[in-house]
Amino acid sequence: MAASGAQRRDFGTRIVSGGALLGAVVSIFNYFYTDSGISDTPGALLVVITSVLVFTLGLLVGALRTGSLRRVASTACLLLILGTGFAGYLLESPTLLAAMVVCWLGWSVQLLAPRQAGA
Amino acid sequence: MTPRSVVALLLPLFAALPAAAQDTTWTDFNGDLRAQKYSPLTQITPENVKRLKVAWRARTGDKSDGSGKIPASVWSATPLFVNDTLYLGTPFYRIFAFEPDTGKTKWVYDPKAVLEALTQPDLKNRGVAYWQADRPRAGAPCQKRVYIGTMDAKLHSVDADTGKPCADFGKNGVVDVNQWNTQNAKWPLSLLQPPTVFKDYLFVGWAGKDWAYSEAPPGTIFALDARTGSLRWTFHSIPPEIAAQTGTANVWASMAVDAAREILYVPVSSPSPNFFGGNRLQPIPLGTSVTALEIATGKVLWSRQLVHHDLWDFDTNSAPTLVDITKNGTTIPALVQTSKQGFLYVLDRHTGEPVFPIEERPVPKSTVPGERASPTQPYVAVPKPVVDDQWPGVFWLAEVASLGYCSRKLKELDYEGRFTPPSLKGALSYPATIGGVEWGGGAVDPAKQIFVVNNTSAVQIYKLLPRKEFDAAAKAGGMETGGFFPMEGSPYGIQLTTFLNPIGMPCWKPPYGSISAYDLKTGALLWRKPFGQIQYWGFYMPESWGTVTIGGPAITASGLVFIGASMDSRVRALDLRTGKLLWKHLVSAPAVALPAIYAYKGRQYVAFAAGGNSILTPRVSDEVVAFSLPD
Repeated sequence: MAASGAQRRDFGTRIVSGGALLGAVVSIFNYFYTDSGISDTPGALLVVITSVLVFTLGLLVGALRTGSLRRVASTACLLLILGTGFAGYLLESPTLLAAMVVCWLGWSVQLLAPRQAGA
Repeated sequence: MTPRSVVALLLPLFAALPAAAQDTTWTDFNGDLRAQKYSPLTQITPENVKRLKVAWRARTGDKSDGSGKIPASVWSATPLFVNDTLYLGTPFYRIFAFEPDTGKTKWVYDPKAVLEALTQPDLKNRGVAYWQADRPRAGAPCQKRVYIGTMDAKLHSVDADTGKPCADFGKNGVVDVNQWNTQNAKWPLSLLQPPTVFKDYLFVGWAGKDWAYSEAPPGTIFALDARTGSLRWTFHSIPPEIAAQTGTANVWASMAVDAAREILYVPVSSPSPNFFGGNRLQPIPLGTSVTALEIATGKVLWSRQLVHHDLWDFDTNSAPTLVDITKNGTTIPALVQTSKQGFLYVLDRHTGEPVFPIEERPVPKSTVPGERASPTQPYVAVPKPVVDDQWPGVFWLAEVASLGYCSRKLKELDYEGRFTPPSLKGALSYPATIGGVEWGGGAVDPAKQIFVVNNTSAVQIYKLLPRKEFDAAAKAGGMETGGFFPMEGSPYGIQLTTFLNPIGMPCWKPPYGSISAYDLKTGALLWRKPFGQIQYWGFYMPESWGTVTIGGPAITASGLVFIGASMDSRVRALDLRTGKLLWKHLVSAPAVALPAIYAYKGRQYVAFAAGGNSILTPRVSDEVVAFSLPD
């Protein structure tokens, strides 16, 4: 049986949060691991924060079914995913970049999920 | 051909065999006394360098980020490999002796040095020196010695096998070089650069406090007995009749030795005060020069002034590289002197005469009351200077990001090209005192006669402030960290700033640092590449931007260039023929030191001290890393 639009949206937002969680863990490791090349730098700290924000927004978008708040949260989530991914590129952190690609895929899945009538 | 002549021909070959099988050393700050930074080793090649791995890492514990009581550390020590040991000095002036294949500590010598920034803003060390007796006495201590100097002018001598002080050297193993600091003794003669060792001589230069005083200790080199520390001779760079009114023109960088001719080559820095010469209008012919001294006496054999009446702090700051050049079928005993001003001076090292022409060109006049800039300066067209004659121009990104600040600031400044003197309005200086080429100098492959050198491309602003104005600015909080330096005793202080926009971006176009290779036979530039990566807040900027570089390269006979020097805490291997990046590896801080390349028990190692330098980034470390090919 094909997944419903709501299920696909949930699936997408779970991917977003999962990818963001991975990004946060990687970034925390990079911040504290002295051989990461970016340890103790503001850039590494910044992507820890933005990864946590993506994680939170992923959960929020999943929890909100409709409305303008959802659209704002979803847009902010995308911007943070793109920004964090670009930061990962500049920080030469391929794992963070990959995590943000996962987030972006999840975000796309939830965006493209069919809307249910009245939803 | 007679059998005897055949034997005579083959003998050198047989003699060379055991030498090839022996360990290959790196005995001096620059690898050897010719300052070639060249290793004959060929185990690591352009083909296999990608497989290079960390063989061992060690930490000394001697680092400081300056946040506590101890000033920040700057570690620019070349590891020495000799006597089956890797020796390193630290910014806390301790000596470490490591096993060369494992990094295990053999011994540590602690001089209990004063850890205060007496002359430099940071605790600095560029390593140790090694000496061994020609005819060692069996069983006697200190037949092999390691030397380290301290910020407060103490030179320590310890037994290279045990790390115990050599009691016959000075007083219980210590010579206080400051005992000879008798004129304008504003600060101690800091011994940050290890002595140069030849036969039983130690040649000791010193560093001082930059830009602080007009009258300062006059430049000297002390030749000491390697065993006893007694003074054999002293070289003075400033004419005695004007020594009281000026100072410095000291030798704070490494030196080179022509062992066959017994000549010492010394890079002499600029006289004080560095940015105003009205107090020292008399000729100081040895200031900002490369000078050849007779080793036995310290007598000047020849000297070539590289900047007349220096107003830019263009210290000659690295040992010249000695190499024989084949030009038009003739072998010329040459030296290559790199410089902050970006010229490469190629001279006959026996006479000081140029191998490639040096011409005197007219340069801008000073507009500062009391100043009289030299009407001409030496100019070298070949080899092509490492920085262009004109500054790179405004960088659009910095301009846009600052809403046009860079262009607006530029309009306020004096700029007439190279050698624009400091002015009351503020003068744009390119290249600036940061270089050009810093103390790491260049490296040469003597067989291929290819010279490699890294450089910085930085733009600074020199603004002279009349004394009253300077004092007011200083009272209002203008500290040295804000670019204010008093040049006490002169009518002006200096405000020295880097040309940045308000958000800290360089206002000039990249690249900010490059690496170049030259064919010394013709002077032709073979290749030039942006070098290193800027890292800001952890973010890496594009490779095409390069980075300010501190430190220098080393070359292997297999055609590799090894170099740290960049602000991104990476060490790299480049292809000597093309400059292509073949390998890079992250270390824990910028490796602002020359690497050491050595072989031990049949394995080739490349060792870097990764200590950092606050000019590049606040990141500091105490790590030494040795790389080799895996089994």
